[in-house]
Amino acid sequence: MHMLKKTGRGKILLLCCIFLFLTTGCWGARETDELGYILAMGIDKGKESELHITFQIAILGGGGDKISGEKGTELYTIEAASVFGALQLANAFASKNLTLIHNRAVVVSDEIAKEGLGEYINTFIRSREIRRNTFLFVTPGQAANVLKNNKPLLESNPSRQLELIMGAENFAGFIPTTSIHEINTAMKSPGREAVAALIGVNEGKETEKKDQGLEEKIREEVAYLPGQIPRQGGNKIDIIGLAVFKGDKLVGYLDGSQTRYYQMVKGSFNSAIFTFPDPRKPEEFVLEIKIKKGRNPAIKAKFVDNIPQIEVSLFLEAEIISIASGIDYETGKMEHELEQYLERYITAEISKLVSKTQEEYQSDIFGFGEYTRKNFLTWQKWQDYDWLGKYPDAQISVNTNLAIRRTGLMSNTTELPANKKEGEKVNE
Amino acid sequence: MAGDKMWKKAVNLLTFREIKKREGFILYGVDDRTENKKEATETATDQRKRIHKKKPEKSHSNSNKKPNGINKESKNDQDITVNKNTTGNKEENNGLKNLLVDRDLAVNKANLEKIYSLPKNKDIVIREFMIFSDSSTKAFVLFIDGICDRKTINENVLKPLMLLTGRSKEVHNANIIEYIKERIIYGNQVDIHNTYEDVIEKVNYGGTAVFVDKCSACLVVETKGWDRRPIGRPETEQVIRGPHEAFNETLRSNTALLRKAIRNENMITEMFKIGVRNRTDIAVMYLEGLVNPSLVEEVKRRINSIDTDYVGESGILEQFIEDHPFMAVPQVLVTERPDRAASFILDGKVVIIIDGSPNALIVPTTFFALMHTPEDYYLRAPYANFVRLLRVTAIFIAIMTPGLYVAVTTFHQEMIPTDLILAISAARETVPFPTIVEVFMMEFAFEMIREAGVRVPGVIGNTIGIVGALILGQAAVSAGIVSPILIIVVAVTGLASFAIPNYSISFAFRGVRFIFTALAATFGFFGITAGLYILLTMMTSMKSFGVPLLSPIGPRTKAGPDIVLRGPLWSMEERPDFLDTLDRKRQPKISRGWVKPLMGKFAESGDKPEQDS
Repeated sequence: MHMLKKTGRGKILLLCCIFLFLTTGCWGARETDELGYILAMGIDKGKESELHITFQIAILGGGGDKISGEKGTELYTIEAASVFGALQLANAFASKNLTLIHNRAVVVSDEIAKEGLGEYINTFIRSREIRRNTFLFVTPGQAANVLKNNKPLLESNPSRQLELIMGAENFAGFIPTTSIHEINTAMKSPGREAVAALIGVNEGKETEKKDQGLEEKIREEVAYLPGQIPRQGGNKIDIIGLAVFKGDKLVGYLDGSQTRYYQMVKGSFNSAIFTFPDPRKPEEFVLEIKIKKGRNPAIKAKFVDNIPQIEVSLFLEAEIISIASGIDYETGKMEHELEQYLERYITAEISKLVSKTQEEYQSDIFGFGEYTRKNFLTWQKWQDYDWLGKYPDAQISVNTNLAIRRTGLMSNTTELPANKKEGEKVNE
Repeated sequence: MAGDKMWKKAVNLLTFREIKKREGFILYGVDDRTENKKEATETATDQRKRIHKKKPEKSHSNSNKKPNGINKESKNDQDITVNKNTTGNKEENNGLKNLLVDRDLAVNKANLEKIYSLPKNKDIVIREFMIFSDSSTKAFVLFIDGICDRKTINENVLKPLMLLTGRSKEVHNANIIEYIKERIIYGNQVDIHNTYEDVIEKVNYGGTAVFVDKCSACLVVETKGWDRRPIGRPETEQVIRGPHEAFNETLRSNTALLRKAIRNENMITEMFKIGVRNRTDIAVMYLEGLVNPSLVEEVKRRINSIDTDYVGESGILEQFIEDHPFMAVPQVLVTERPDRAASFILDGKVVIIIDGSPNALIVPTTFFALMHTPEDYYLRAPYANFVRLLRVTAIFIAIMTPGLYVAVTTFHQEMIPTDLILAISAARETVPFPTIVEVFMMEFAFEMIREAGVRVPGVIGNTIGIVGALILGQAAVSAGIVSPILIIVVAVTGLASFAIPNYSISFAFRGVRFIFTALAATFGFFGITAGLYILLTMMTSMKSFGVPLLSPIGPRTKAGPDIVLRGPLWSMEERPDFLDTLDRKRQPKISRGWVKPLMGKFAESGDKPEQDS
């Protein structure tokens, strides 16, 4: 007893250490091979139940001394009332413990999106298994169909494939990255509306021939929605364009071309190669210009007679990639002329897009509302102002500043003799 | 009762407390034994005498109990003389040892024969001869064959005694010894002693004693000379740049190596003897006028307080003088490189060299010094920093990789890229064990290879590597017992542990990593975090000879640019603050005289432009 008293402190300390281990156990531990990793998830309207959920699960292969990675993926389709309800039901036939910790994408059908995403997005932002940076796609058709047809050829799994495709944002511009987090914050905000990337299946059908001039064709070069790109071969999945939401409901789509201009206004545009009609011979030749973001766009908002006026100034830089006509646009006045032409062209396209969102969609996807905030003294006043309702009436002016920084590897264009017409003097 | 002892030990381990009854170092504010306090101020010889004064009682009681089993009871016998002949008993021997040298040569001889158990003891030599031609004064020399240099004895002791004395007249008896010491014997270290105790001590360590008839004193000539290993290359602290000299097993060679490196009259070599039965020589070396005197005092106090039978190696001494015997991290730096020891002496640290050990102990040491190598200073700063960063990474890899692997694969699968988790899962598909079993199995196998590699005879040493790598790695994977990724984890961990320069601390981290693995398997990342916290707490609580182990970072003190990374040598103006040396400055602020003109403006205003980096 005496001894116990003496070393009591130590004994208690030691017991505490032992109990610490006993109380926790390894219950949180799960072996990697006990888990089934869901890489992508599709949500459609269900027939039997509320939802028709598709899980794309990685199939592990190899083992032993071969690190062959996974053999591919397997699709499980379950009808359930909720996403996690489907996950629970999956345990009835899946041997592994299905988990969403490595889920990279959620594809939502337009049917669901039109009804409103609000009721589903809460699951995604609250559940600890799903990351907020998971991509959220809207598809014009069935989400299950997208996952079924997505067979990445160059990568081993769709998770990696989607990450790579979304990385193209930096050099293509018509694939905006839209994560669950971004969409959620946009939906909550009284100053902007949400957009989501579009995904769709391209069946490789012959498209109808359009009766257009060259200038029109150039203008609509990337103006496609998923599934419309005239192409053969490759994966059947197209990721291009944007789904426009008003509130939590889908109201329309932006095609690839519009998406690029949308990105410019948002400031998330990085760089992309554009094709323009030649300013002097618009029906004959094309210009290929790489356009980069010079600076973030400057957006100013003010109220004149209680009407919001938004001024958007874009700062772009350009690099000439090709001048098919051979006209020497690089030098002196010609360069200035080209710059002005490009500025006008881009301004016109953006104005068109802005008025489309104002008139057709009535949805401030650009987030101009965020800039009007400083005109209000309190948050409450701003909320009461109801910007989103007033967006269609806003006066929005766009101003583009473009500078040609580089002319590629050539500093002087030599016109091909065949292109010359009647000794026309081009170089001044 | 045994259980209580265990409890006590465990408690002390957990609460970092030393058992007060056993050893009390000043660091804990525990009162020392009163005699120890005195010892600190006394010289080593005084102390030795005192030990012997109190000894006879002990041995008395011993011999009374078991007069015939003396050799077995030697543990409690605190005297130098070990051998006992059948006729004499212990008391008699002790008595003899404490006797003075007799005037009668025959008595002396008889006494020595008893002490050394002659003629049973075969390597003790007594050579009798005559000196002084006109009379026939008898004399003899006593030495131990094998540890004396025969040539020295023949040429410098016997020859002058027998030849030169023949030429001179007989001197007065009382002065014979003085006369021989001053005029006859060539030996460079000759002492006069009049107690057997002193004589025997010297003879036991290669001295030659000269006894002359009718003299109540004896001469001891230093004639040490035995077969020794020459100074070789460092085995465990190899460098590309820098000297390739290492300490060897001879104390005098080692002190000489340090003397050679530090040509300074202020360098002090204090000699002590510890181990009551063995009397091992210990040299404590430091630079007087630089080192903090209380540090030297503390080192001497700890060394002198050691009361044991035999201290034969630096590793044993280390365990006797270290502050925290149960902690993972060592608190004494061990080096086999004279250049490294010298640099520490010049920093104001104390070097302890023990006879028979090719390693020098350096106290106090900090955790950061344990992570440095001498080459860090010989290489240019950018290269040295590259290597140091590599080493820091290696420490973390060595401690935590298996733990992180276990934590990630069992708790935090979401933390790694999808491709990697799929690859890991695929590789683990055929493995029948949980990850933790797999990891422990491979780590254990790796440690076995390592231990076997050290113990295995040289001839088959190479096979161990092949067996380890091929059989265990390749076959275990093919058999589906472990996953290939784990082999990488174990191999990288092993490799990293070899990159840790200090052998002791490498050991410490090897052990710690098992704890981290277990923690990771139980608590995941939380366990690793908790483990790191505990490890850090333990290390912060540790001291080495009064210096906190983590200084100058924990506690934060003034520090030069040489902790984890190092600045250029010319920016290291001050010696470590924690050593509190008498001379703080290593060099002036502008140590490169040739850059002075360029920086004239700054130099005059007393600014230090060079310290920017």
